[in-house]
Amino acid sequence: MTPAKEALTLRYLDPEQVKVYRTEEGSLRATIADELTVLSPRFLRACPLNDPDRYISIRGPEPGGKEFGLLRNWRRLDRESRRLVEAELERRYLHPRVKRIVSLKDYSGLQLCVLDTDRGMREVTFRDVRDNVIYLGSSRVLITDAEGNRYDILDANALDPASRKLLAKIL
Amino acid sequence: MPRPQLPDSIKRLIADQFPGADARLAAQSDLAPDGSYGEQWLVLAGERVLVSSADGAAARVLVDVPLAEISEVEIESLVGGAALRAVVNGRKVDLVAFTNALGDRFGRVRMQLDAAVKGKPIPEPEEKLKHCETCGLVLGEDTRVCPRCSRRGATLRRLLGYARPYRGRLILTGALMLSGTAFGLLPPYLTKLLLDKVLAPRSPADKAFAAEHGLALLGWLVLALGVSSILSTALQVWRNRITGWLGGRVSFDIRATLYEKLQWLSMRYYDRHPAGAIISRLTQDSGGVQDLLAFGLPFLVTNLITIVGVSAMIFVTNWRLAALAIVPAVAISMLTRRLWEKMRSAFHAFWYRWGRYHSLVNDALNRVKVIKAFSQQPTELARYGVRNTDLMNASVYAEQTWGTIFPVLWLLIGSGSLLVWYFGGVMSMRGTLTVGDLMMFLGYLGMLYGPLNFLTNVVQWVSRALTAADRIFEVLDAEFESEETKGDVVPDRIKGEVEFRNVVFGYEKHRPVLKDISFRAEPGHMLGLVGKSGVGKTTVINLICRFYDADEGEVLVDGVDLRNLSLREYRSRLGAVLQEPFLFAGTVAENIAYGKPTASLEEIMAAAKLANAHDFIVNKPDGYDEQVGEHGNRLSAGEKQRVCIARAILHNPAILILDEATANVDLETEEQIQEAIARLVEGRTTFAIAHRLSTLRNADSLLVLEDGKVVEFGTHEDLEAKKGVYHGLLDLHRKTSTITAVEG
Repeated sequence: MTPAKEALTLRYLDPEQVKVYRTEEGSLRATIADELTVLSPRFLRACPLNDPDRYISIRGPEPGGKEFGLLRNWRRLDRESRRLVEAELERRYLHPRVKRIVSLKDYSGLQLCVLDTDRGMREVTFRDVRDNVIYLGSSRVLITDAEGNRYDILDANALDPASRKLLAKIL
Repeated sequence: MPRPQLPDSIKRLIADQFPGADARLAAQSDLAPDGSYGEQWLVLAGERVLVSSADGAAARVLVDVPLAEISEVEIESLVGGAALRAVVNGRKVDLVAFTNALGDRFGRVRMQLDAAVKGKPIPEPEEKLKHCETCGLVLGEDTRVCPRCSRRGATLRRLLGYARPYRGRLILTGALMLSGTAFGLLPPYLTKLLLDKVLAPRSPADKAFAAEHGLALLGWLVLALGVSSILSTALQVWRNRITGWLGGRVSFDIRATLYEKLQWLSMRYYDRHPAGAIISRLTQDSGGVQDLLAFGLPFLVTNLITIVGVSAMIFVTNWRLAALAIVPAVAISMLTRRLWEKMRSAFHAFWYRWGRYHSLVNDALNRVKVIKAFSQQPTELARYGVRNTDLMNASVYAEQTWGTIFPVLWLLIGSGSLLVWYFGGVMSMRGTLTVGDLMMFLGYLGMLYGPLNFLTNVVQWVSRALTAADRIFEVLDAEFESEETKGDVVPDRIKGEVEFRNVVFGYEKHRPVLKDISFRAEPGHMLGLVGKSGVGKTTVINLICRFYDADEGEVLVDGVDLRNLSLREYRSRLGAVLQEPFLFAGTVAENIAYGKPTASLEEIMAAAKLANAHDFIVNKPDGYDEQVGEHGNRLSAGEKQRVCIARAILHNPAILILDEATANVDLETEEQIQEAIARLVEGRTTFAIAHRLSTLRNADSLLVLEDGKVVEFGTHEDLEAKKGVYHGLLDLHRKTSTITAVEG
């Protein structure tokens, strides 16, 4: 494959050929097919919302850095690499999932809300909530609060009845 | 309107002066030779083109040109009209002038004469219906609805046609209405019994009965009153729930039909109707129709039933008194018929202003930036103020008219009960009418005046909703995209050979933009369209996309006339990257997959990679799930462009339209876009428009247009060597580029 042609196609990596590890000083490294080692690689999800577990892009550290390849399924990596990638993804994607809406108070246009998420309880303020909501599919809802944080309700229909009632008040 | 026939006097005139020449073609103009409204006739008699002045004794031949000397027949566009001209031995000879009303007609006459000049048989082109067949009224653009001939009844019937699938529920509603009304009729009768048998008995028998059983009877009668009110309320609730469902469902159906229609309306329709006006048909008008179906019609029917039932009851009780009560009511309903018209025009005006208001706001919000940049807020406010005032005046007028008419009507209708009190009272005092009968009578009258009052109210409901329905039906009746020739040839594969053969086309038929264009693009080749703005480059593209059909000549794809090719099939093999990158609110992935909704993520990513878009997309926080915002506003111009290119790559069209894709981006981005375009173009027949000639350096051939005609056609090298129009443009371009370079 000529170098020019290479830029035109995506490179999908075999999970067995990718090793992610930490050096003794603690910095992250990724070795790809024994041909190159990426210093401080970034792991980006191609589809963080609709398909978060597949298609992980391995990139250089600088913003907009070169893509070294895509992993179709990073869970097939060896144990240590998988642990490190998972930790990296957890660190990069702060993506709380709402389990329950504990309370909601409405102050004409502002809503003060206590959410129980997979990252713990949190008090949030929503403003112009109808303009800051994304519907994915028929029942998934992403809401951004007044300070730009986003909360994911994976399945609004699966919430408990009390939470559903509160959600219906603001949407 | 029937087409006028050549008058006998002119036939005789021709027979006298040119024996043996029979009229093969005749057309009447609506202007006299001096330009005033009048009449002239253009006649193709034998081998001569004649123009004769008005009918009558004074008729004479004004122009006489032998067909053989004419090389071309053309139309000169004037303001408010146009003139037909013949080129005779290189000289232009005016034949006849006409107003815009006859533009289409003479456009066809030009075609016919042209055919005669070329010795071909004279075609008889189909005339588009512009006038109502019944009354001759000029119809709206692209519609066959004649506002004079279409009757309210017909609109209503058509509207009810949408309820046909729900016949069962309709019948149930009718039954509920009847039974509900029947129960409603009981209370006044029970009141009468209460008065005459229990409370104020007159005859000795009644008095005796009341003394003995009065209390028990009272209990039973009150119980019956209670039960009948409860039953009547229950039936009413049941009925309301069903009609509510019916109204919602039927207007859902209408909206769905309307929206589907909008997808398939011709470009000509969209050229003529602003988006705001169309939006208000989908929102305001369909809402009006829903109101009518869910509330207006059921009320109308129940009230009519009540009126019939109540009238029967009171006429049976005492016909003289009934007549006294009914006469004023009938007079009022006659009056109502007059008011119907007044109200309708008031609300028509209101809805029209509402649509215009909507268009203005929509337009202004779309160019907020321009307004701010030119600090034109005061102008905008003034413009807005005018529209807003218009809207206010229309709404005030409509509401005030209604608000005045309504109470006065109520007063007049109620005046009947005064008559009943007086004459009924006299009868009762004379003993010809019991008190119970009088009270029952007044009870029924009360029930009658309500519905009668509503009948006057219903004028507003119905007229508003039927106007809305008319506007919706107007869209539904507008012609489908190129309906007359939908095309059914489904090719196995489109190779992408495109040929224009003597194509003539104008957005208005008598003002051709493309004048006899012929060229051929080989499959897989890139053809650049070059020329100053307004020469018809975009029009060529519009015809290739089949947004419009050629007026004359043919556009052929793989040798098949485009009009015969299945439109759906053809468009599925056509792709475009336009000057204004078009994205819709949704994710990046959805936007790329627009032309191929079944594409997998890997296909989408592969296309994005080829379009130099993969990297910037993955670096977005949400990657391919990133929301692009309305019109793609959350992406930069260069990003939008590349998303569009990725979309075209994934769509994999055989024929590709590129319209100046690299405007307003920086050099590096432009290079990336150029690179992406180069990959996209490969193997596809491509039509590219670019104002920067450098963009077209890769084109296999260039088509240079000037004033709607092809002036040069060849490769870049050929045309440069030729030192013609293209060379001139190139020179100009180089000069401006140098200036930019120096200044930059």
